[in-house]
Amino acid sequence: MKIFVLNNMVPFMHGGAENLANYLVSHISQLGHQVRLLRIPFCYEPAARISGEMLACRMMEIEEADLVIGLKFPAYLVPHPNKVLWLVHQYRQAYDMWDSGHTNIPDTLQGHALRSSIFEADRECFENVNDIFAISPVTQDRLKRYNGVDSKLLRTPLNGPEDFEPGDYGDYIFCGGRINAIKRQHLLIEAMRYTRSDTKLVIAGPADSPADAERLHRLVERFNLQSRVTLEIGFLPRQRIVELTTNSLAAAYLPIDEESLGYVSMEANQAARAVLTVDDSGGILDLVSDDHTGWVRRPEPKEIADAIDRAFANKNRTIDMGRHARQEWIKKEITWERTVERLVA
Amino acid sequence: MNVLIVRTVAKIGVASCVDSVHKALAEQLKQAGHQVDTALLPFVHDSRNLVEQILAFRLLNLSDYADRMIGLDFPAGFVKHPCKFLIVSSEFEKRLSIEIGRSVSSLHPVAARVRHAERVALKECKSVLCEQADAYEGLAQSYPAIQSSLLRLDYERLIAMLAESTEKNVELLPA
Repeated sequence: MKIFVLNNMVPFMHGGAENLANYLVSHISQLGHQVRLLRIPFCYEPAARISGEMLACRMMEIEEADLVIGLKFPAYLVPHPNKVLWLVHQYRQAYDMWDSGHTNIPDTLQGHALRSSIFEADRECFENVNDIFAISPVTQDRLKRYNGVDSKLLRTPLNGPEDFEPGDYGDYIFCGGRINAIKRQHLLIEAMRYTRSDTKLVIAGPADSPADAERLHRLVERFNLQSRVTLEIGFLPRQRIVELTTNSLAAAYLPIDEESLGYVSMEANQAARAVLTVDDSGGILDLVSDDHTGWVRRPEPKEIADAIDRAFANKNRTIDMGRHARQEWIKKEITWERTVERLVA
Repeated sequence: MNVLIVRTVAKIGVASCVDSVHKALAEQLKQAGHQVDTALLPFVHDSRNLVEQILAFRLLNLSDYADRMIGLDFPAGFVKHPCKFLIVSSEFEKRLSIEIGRSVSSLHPVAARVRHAERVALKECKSVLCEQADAYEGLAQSYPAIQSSLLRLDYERLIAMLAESTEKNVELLPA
């Protein structure tokens, strides 16, 4: 088959969705299909640009493809008669993030018109695709709640799982991934000031903006945590992420209502590390079972500090939880081979 | 600096000269210490929907998301950016007439619109660079007011031009 994968790109921003698209293309190719990735710019600030970008996608055309796989809004709006969606996410700022007040769409007549046009474009797209897969129950629920559309669950597999074989357990909690306010690394730093003195935290990954990086540096200084909190901010080679994960004591990941299980948590589970998260983090809650494969707390610094203290107070228990986490993860059988088979079926 | 390469992908499994230009250019930009990212846009060589596709490209405005943009040939050159460089390997309109297998005279409404859009997009560019002499000569004939130069795979020169080009064009022309 000839297959195009449709993804957005915000220039010079690289995160989980970009990795997902790259691995998807690679695994489709390994199954003998001809495949190309399309990366359509989506520059959503200011929000007034979005209408034009939606229109652009709807006016684009794709040549001689047997199948098109759409991943994200608005790239998935590019028309094709044989299209399936593997929905990473819609434009959440028009949906749940509008409701929660975390949106860049203004509460004006123009803003409401933009929201309506996003709903309408999504509705038309969803009606005309062959199938809709969603990467998590959170994504499925949102799609059902806001658009009345059913979907099939197809979780994102871990990329290169063989790299994350368990290593020796270290003396720090590792929090990897993109650094921004939505990922809430700041909550971990705020928690560290309430923890016992032998706890350590390593935060590593690219910051979305200099302000995001500066915020974390300021917090570390403000709470005088320089000896216990390490910041490795920047785009790190995969090998460094592997080292930090496989040599940690446990992992932490506290995003706000994220759709997916999260690469950070999947990698940690593959490496037999328990994961600390909070009860509004979304998809990851399907992976972390409190006091069995990790810790689930409310997003409050003192509650998170309690979990960190427990991780260090009884390291044998933490290691056991990590081993349970790996067993549970492997049982789920979320592999690229099975994923691609379902998408191209 | 952040350099965004914009190019199109038409048919799967068909290699184009843009592939090799893209690869070599991206590598040299990285070696020169620049951050490089690439937008890959779909495109169908079909005169019936050509104007709509060009308009789609014109609706993409990457002004605030890269220090420099390099368009690899038309139709990528239609994308807007205030500091845009364009590498031309052949005249888009003439190439199109060959690719769709019939003559599109310059009086044909589609050809006239494409030519107008090309002129607008060319005027926006900080520099227009032609890979080969035939593209350079064709461009000079079709658009005498547009200054271009021969590149001949000399990406070091292009990279130097990117660095020297500090002033952005004040205003982008409308779609």
